[in-house]
Amino acid sequence: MRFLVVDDSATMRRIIVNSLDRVGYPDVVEADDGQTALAKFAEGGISFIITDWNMPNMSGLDFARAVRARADGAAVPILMVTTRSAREDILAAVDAGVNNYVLKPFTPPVLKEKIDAVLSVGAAA
Amino acid sequence: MSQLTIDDAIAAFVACEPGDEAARRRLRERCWVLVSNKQLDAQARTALADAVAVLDEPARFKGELEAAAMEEVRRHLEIAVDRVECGASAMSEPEPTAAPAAAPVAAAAPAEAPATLTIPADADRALIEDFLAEAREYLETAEAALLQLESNPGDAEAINDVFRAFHTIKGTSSFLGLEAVAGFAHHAEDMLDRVRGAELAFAGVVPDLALRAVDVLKVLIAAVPAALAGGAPALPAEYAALGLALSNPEQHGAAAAAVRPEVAAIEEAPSVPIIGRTAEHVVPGAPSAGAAAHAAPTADPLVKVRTDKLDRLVEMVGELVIAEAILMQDAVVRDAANHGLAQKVRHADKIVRELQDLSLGLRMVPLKGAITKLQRVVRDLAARSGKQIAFEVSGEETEVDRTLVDLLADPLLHMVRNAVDHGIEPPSERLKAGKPAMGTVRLEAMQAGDRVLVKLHDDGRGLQREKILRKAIEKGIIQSGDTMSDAEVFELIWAPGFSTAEAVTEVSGRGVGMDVVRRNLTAMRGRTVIASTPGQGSTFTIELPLTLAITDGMLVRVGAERFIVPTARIQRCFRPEPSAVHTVQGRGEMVHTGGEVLPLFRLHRALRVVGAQEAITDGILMVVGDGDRRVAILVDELLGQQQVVAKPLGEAVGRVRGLTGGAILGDGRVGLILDVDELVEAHRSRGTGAETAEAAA
Amino acid sequence: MTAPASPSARSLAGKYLTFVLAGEEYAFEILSVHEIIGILAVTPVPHSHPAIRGVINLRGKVIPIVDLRIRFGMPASDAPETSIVVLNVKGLLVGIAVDAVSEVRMMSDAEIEPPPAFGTDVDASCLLGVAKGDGKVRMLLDAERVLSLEAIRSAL
Repeated sequence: MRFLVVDDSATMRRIIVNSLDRVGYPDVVEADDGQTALAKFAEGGISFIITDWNMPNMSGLDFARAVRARADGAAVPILMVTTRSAREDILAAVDAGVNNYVLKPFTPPVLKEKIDAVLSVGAAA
Repeated sequence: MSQLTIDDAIAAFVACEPGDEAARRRLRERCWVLVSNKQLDAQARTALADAVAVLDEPARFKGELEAAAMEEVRRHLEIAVDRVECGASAMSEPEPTAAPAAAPVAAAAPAEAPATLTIPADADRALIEDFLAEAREYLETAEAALLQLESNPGDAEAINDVFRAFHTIKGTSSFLGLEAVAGFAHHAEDMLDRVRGAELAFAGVVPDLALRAVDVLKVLIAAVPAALAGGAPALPAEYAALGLALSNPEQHGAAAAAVRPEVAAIEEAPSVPIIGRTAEHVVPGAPSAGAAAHAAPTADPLVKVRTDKLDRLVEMVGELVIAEAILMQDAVVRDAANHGLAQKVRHADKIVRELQDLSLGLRMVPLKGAITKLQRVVRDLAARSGKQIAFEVSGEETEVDRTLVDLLADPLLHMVRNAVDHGIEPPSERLKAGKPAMGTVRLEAMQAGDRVLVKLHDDGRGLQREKILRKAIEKGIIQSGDTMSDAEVFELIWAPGFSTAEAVTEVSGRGVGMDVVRRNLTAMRGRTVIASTPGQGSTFTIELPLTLAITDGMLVRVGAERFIVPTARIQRCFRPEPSAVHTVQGRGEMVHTGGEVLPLFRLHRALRVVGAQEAITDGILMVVGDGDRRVAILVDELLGQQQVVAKPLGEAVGRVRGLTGGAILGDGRVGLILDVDELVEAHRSRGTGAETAEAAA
Repeated sequence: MTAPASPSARSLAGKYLTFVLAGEEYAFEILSVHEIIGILAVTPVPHSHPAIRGVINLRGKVIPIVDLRIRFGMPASDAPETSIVVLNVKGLLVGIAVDAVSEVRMMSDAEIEPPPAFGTDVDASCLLGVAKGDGKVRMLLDAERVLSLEAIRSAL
């Protein structure tokens, strides 16, 4: 299962990639902004996207919308990484087609729990 | 599994025993799934989103707080249940109460403040190191954006840049266990978030608070290595108070944007009378520089490379260029009867040249970074000295070698400080002199051939000849200035021990003087020129090579030693007639050439080389220097031009007057690169007395 | 006169590179030795300190060569130097021309005595200690002190 991790902070990407590795998902593709991420996604083979919310040029929400707008991006799970959770953020994330989000800081098990939650909902639908 | 209903959420809520974090997370996930279900009533989803927001805030479930938080979750769920059960009929119902949404911030704010910066034992050190570099970049970006906002407070993208810096630093540092950093960044992020949401005006104390927050974060980031080394560095003095001010800027004089944004912006405009203006080159049809700067990063994916690796690469390409030049000059290659060989060598030569251009380009960066810092300096200095100064910048996109940008930072800082502290007059004095109260400091950067010019102009009082002379005599630098030209007098401000500071102020003192500035510049093969008109201002010009990596040099022989003289400093070379040399009383040997008379400078004496030519007709003279400071340097032989990679001689050797460094020559030995200007300077000071005896010996 | 800080504060036992200079045996801790190379042509640097003999090209790097005889005020000798010991002191590379490199030798605490205050060619502040063994006396040099610029300047 290949993950696409999108974050402008290289340190954050490493944290996420390390966490994924620790919970059994070693196959990760990285991108440092939305445009690059879209190009990587277009190459195919991505089965899960983890993206930062606040990024320069293209926000995580815009990125999610762009993925959803693609024929091959309608179903791919998108997990958003963020630092705040307010009503408006939550609704905006849902509207953009984000499957779930996780708050920083998280531990690898929490990340796994979120991924599992997203996958189980997806499987049920 | 059928679709989740609101009842599933209620069931999960009921299952939440106090302290059962896992059950709470299950509840949160169920609420989330319901929020995501767009078939559900919109207001029910909003209420569920409120519940998720509360559940996502771990701090609200600590100990005794848990009961209240769960009660709030219960209220949100109740609203959701009501909405779902009543159906979506009541269109004009008021929104569920929004008040609690603000509560988490208030609850999180007064967290127990740490006193020192500590790092958990299990921290990932390598990751922290990476984070530090990244954090510094984010802070630089934030600072640049804040300065940009001073002239254009409505620039949403700039506000977002600042927000993102605080936001990312907060998020990442919380992972790395840097609680003190995360906590502080959180406050800064909160304030910027309110600016972003148009809840708070970017005016009054807000810009200043943001800038100070950047400063404190810089200090915190700088302290992390000490903490990594096992120490517990103290937090900056401002830490707690500024954190508090950031969480509640209104208490500190900020205006709520919603109330009266325009009025607030005018009445509570920064008390600092400075405008950070950017003189942009207006290109028809081109987006403004600001827009271009924001759009630029989308172009190509970037790769981060360690600077030492990059430097090594550029250096090795430099070596390759030289090795190749030596090969090209080899008699075997040059006289090759074999046409095929010559062709192959020429092909290799072409590739090497292209490689050289490419590798030099790798290290080229815009001057912008160094200049941004100056805007801040001007702003702070002006505020402190009560002067009004507009800082104009042009050509900040001019690219120079990265190492030069680093080296340029100090000289520029000194020159800007000098201009603000000593150049620009206080407003009252300016008005008296018939000038506008606001002074202007203008920084211009431009490329001219293979050199970069950086000019700093101020419209202040100008350098005062008499004052400089008085001081130089007082300090024992000169005996008398009667015969000195203005240019020579201005040069005195570079002399060691000379400082034009009347009173050493907090900012302009620090014990590093103009002589250090000059020395650093000379070390990078730079030159300085000062022009000044009393009452109208001064212009300091720094001229630098585009790159430090490769120097075109003339290899000369003196006795058994070889030296390299930068070709750019040589005006011409000639073999003098015996009759051309005279000894002039008090001025030493002079040589006639092309209708002028130049001082003769015997290089072997200055460099104490034995066995060199004494008879000037057996050697060659090189004319070097500028204007009335030119001299003819005697060497034994010119061995030819070559490109060399300049390298420092190392700390152990220290700084030697007249030398800028060493270079590896074709035979593997080290050749020394001469600093012609310094040699000439030494020659002149000898000529005026002190070391005449030594020169003649 | 104050005695130099007691070197017994830390153990000096360990591996040392021993070499001969003007007929005496000296040693540097092996950890401070970067490499040993043959004698190379040295480019003298005009107006530099007398103890700086000049600079050499060490595979593309320019590094200085310190003349220990001058550094320690020893008389010039006819014995030809055969090697350059390149030391790494706090990241800076500095070469020292020596008459001959002898061996890498393990020195135990039992062999090492504190430096005598008098009676050596070498300034006692540059000595870590004196090692006696195999019927030889070897002076253990403190690379950092020997090559510190301040110390060089004050020595002359």
